[in-house]
Amino acid sequence: MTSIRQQCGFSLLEMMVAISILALALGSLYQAASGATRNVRTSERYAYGVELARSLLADNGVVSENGTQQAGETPGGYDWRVQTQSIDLARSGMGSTRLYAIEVGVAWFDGRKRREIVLNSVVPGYGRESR
Amino acid sequence: MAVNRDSASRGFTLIEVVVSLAILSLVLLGTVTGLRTLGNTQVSLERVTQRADEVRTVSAFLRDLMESAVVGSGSGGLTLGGGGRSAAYFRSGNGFLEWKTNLLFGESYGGTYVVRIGAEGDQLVLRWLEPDATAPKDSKWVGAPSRILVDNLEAFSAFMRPEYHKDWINNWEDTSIAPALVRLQIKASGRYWPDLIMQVQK
Repeated sequence: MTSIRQQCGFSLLEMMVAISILALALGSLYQAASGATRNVRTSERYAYGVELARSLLADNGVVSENGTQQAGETPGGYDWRVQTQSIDLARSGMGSTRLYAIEVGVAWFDGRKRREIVLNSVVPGYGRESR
Repeated sequence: MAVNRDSASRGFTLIEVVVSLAILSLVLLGTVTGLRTLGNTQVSLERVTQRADEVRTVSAFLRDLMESAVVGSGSGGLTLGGGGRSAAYFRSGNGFLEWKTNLLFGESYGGTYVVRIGAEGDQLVLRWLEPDATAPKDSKWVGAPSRILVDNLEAFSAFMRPEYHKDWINNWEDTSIAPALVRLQIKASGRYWPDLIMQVQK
């Protein structure tokens, strides 16, 4: 009788515990993988956003005398804006040079979270000679 | 005792075996599906990473190449009588763009080359040639050294702006003048890249 008793297998409770541990482990692994997917997608959207912002900055490498204020949205869901502000050079002795502080912002929604990158630079205005 | 022993060493009934097999198969099915999903995730992660990487690398490279373009010596700089070598060269056509630029292979080795990016089949290919006094002919490009920039290319077009305040045009007539801005539209692997607008050195 004792020898038979020693031979008996796992109890139901032990099996339940083992399987639930397996399930927990698999679940956390799965969650890690989906987190990685999300991060990679975020990084891809950042890459696209930065490219868009660099393109906008290049596009406005020289701005008109009145500065520029533009905004728009791309088909890919990126909101962009370009703003310039005239820099006062009256006291710097640079004469008729016109410089503008330019700010390019690109924003997009990642799920519900809003992400944005902003590039700042200084660009010249159209000189009289280049018109 | 004998009866007791008999009943203790009795095997499973068919129902018990069937039920346990069913449960086991369910557990195995769940595990295998989970593992396969992980594998698929890995593959798709790699693809997306590669795509983002391609966009980053290729656009940074093209921007560098465009910003170091040779735009001629018309601004009164010092020339050593190079003639054709120091003059700007810029040509565009259906699905290709050629310009003269400073191409670096690695950190220290390189020089002025005429480069061409163009769609060849479903690839965007970079080719380069030593500059000479005359514009390179189409036949010379065939054997020129090349590197593949983008695979699975679906659309490629280029637009130029002669000055910042002018409109985009898609054919460039005077090959001895470089434009102010170049815009490239690339579609690869079913996705449009963001428009690449690049400044040509001025």
